[in-house]
Formats: sequence, C-alpha cells, structure tokens
Amino acid sequence: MGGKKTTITNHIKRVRLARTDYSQAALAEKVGATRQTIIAVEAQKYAPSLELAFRIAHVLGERVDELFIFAPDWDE
Amino acid sequence: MTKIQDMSSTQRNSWLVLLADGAVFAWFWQKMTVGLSPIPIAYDMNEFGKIVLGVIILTVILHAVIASIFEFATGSQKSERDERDVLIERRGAAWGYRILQIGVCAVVFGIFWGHVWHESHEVTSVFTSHVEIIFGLMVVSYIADLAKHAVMLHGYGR
Repeated sequence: MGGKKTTITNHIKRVRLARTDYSQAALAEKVGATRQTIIAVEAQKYAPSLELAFRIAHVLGERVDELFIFAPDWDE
Repeated sequence: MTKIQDMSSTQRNSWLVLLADGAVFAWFWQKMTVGLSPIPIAYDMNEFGKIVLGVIILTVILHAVIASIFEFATGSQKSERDERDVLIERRGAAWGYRILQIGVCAVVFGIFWGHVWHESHEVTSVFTSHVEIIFGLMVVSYIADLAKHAVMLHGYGR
C-alpha cells in the first residue's frame, strides 16, 4: 500500500481526536460516508468532494479552509 | 491487505467477482483449449453448448459459495457505498470498457480477416466457425470484466 498522496492534505484526524470523541466509524456515519473513505481521507490518500469536505468540517466544527490545505505539486 | 470486515460492499463485490469469475474463466479455458494455446478445440455446437451450460452453473455456485463466506465473515453488516466507491467503480468500468472495445474490434477484424482476405490472399483465418467466434467473444468479455475488478481493487489499495 502506501500509495500516492493527494495534493489536498487535511488535519481531520488531529481535530477529530482533539475536539470530539468520534471514532472513524462515528464520523463516517455523521457525514454519510463509509469508514473506509474516512480512513483514506485521514491517510491523505483520497481528496473528498467539496460536499463531503463541507460535511466533515461542519461535523467537526471547523472551517473548511482550516481543515483542508491545498499543497500544489508545481512551482508557483 | 484489508480485512473482509473492513471492506466496503463494493470492494467485497469486486473480490467476489474476481475470485468466482476468475475460477470459472480458468475452467472454461481449460475445457476449451489445450494448454495455453488460444486456439479452441473444434467442438460442435452441441458439445460447446454443454460447456457454456457448465460455465453458467459453475458461476452461480461459486458466486453463492463465496458470497456466503463473505456474509459469514462480515456478519449482519449493512451494505453501504459512497462517493469514493462510485469513483473507483467508474475508473474500473472505464478500463473494462476500453478492453472490451479493443477485444471486440480484434474479434471482428479476425472474422473479416478470415472471410474477406482468406481466399484471395491465402492467409491463415483466425475465426473459422461459430464456436470460435463465440469463444473469442466470451474470452474478451471475461478479460474485460476481470480487468475492471482488478483495477477497482487496485484503486482501493492505493
């Protein structure tokens, strides 16, 4: 495994553990995703859709732009 | 590797199809050819029909057995899928469709090769009977389906 990382990284795991007592399964249920997707998102292996990103941010009580960071792989 | 319990329903289904249809395809190939040769044995339609019936029966049995094993391993877990499953499935389907297109084109070309140029240019015909044509299309269909699910499982492993 250990596949390619996405260019959008996130702090979901840190925020989830610091601010809530949600497990990955509980967060998945709250946002309407599967646990496998939350695992992949937290491992930076899957960039969620805009809607799912907003759902996660809403459930964790965080702003989307603070939860997700765009790290482009090109020189600016 | 991901445990069966940790797989989404789409991922489990991909494993089911890959294992069951892979085994059926291996059985079909072994019945239809000698060794690894792609040239099918010259069966008549009756004998070929019996093999196809065997393929159908074996497919139903293997799907039922493997699905029961998965069901036993996962308990009463509800089947669920989300946007990631849809994305991975779409990618697999695109690959499967591409392979199906190329395979069908190859079969059609093989048929034309045999019927249009065979007599005038004395070239070797690829498909000379109905059994060979159906065999070719079935092989293409299996390879496309297996490729689809292999790509999907690769997507889940990334």
